[in-house]
Amino acid sequence: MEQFKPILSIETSDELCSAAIMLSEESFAEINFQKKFVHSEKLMPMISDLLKIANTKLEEVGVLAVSIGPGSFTGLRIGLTVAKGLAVGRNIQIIPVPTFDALAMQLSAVLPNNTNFIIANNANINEIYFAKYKSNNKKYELITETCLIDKSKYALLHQKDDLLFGNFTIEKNDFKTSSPNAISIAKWAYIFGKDFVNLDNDLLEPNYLKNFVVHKK
Amino acid sequence: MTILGLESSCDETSVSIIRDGEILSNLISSQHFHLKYGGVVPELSSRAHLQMISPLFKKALEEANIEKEEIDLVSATAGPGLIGALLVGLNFGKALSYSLNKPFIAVNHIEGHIFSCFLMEEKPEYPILSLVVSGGHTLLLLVKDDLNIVKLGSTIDDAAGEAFDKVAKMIGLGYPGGPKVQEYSEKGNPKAIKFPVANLKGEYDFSFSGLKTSVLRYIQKEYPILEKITEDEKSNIAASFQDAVVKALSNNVKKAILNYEIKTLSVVGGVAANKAIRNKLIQLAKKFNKKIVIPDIEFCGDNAAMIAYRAGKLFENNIISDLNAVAFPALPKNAFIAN
Ligand SMILES: Nc1ncnc2c1ncn2[C@@H]1O[C@H](COP(=O)(O)OP(=O)(O)OP(=O)(O)O)[C@@H](O)[C@H]1O
Ligand SMILES: [Mg+2]
Repeated sequence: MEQFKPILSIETSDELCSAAIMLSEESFAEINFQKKFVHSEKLMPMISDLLKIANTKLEEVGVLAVSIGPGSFTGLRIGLTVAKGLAVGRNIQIIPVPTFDALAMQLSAVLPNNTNFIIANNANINEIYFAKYKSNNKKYELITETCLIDKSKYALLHQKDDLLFGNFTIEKNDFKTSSPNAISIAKWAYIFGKDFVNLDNDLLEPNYLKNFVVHKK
Repeated sequence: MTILGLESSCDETSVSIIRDGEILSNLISSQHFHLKYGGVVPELSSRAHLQMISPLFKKALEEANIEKEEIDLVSATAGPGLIGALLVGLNFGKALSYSLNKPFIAVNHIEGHIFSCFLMEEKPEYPILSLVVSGGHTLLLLVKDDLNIVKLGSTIDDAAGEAFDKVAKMIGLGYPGGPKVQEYSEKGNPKAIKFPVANLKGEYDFSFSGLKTSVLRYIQKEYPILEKITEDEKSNIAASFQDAVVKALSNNVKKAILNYEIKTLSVVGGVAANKAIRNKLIQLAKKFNKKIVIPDIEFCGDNAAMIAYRAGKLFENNIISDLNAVAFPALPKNAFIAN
């Protein structure tokens, strides 16, 4: 079997700024900073510290896994920009990880079997990012693919027993987890990343989910 | 020493490689798509920077004919500018420097403009009287050496470039207006209309908002039906406006030449591309027997060569940045104030 190459991962789609390294199937390190507007300042120092702690050099890293969205446009761009800068210096492959799928994977590992759950994050005043999954033996199954929907549509898509995650909270005491940890980004890339190994890093963009519309004055 | 410069403060993505003061490559990708919105749309600008930055970096290496490992220093603009746009160049630069294991320097965009005159063959000598005229700034500075820059004056309202753009819009010349106003000016009579030159409390300060308003008043008064302005009349308005700007700028420059010991006169920034302004300052330098160094047009607008050059100067002075360097949208209040 091929020797395992470390996976360095980045998660910046929301308020959580997270970087992790997967050193083997059983060994991980992660640094998190949960705060608004610190990602640009903290992400690179976090990655530098992380690699130091893990005794790993960037050139030993096999792939860079980056949370690709949806989420905060600026946050996603910071993560992907850092990934591109790291990648181009050492010719490392970037794997774009669908943010909600990675979060679904993380949640399914702890949810009771056969739980339907929704991830819904605020996108703007009128819309939310929405996806629906089902936990199945610690793994996730996709029910509704990540999409952008009008807030008013939410009630139609929400069934009685669905658990709700994400920051689109209708009730205060709902679970609030709105983005995965970087470890989940690395794990997702480890499990599903093989399909992406021939991607051109330069063509990668955040999953904005929608063209930006300019409102003329 | 081989220095990489990255610039993404507004609507230009630029990557440059300079070696020992010589420009090996200076690629500029302009985001022309903003034209149809009549101004830069920040979110679209940020998206375009992210698309361009990595391919442009590779192209810059190719054009400079070097390997990335030959880069000794990585630099990027940290501000002032559009935050989302700045974050792209800055974070790409920080990550790349880490990945190449080379030092990183975050550069002030305005300092980049100021030192762009050093990219010319003829080298400026300190002290330099530097007129910075760009889309967002109008400053008159005394540059004593690499690190000591003192502000003599600045605009109290609009920047010079902003005034050019707004006047261009008033007479329907489109965006960006600077080059269009210049083009029309060349066919017009600068004495046709008398627009006011502001007299301000701060000896070296500028104001262009009053000038802008008087151009607007003039147009409203003379051409209630805007479509009736002929091309000739547009040319006269453009030429008279431009003449007032040249006067406002050169009045202060002249005062400063008389009151300060300077060796070199320089004008930098996007508006320094303006022929009338260049000519007037060349004339002033001649009259007062000062050296004049104005960047070629290519280096007046935003470019990464000036960022790389400025980074080199900072490095020589043992100034480098950390990986936690942050972007900033505006010039700090205490920028260029002597302590
Ligand atoms: N020939 C010209 N005559 C007058 N103005 C010009 C000319 N060419 C360009 N400009 C003006 O220069 C400005 C752009 O300059 P520049 O790119 O340096 O500004 P910026 O980078 O947007 O602002 P800043 O450097 O202050 O952040 C625009 O306002 C444009 O109209
Ligand atoms: Mg500029």
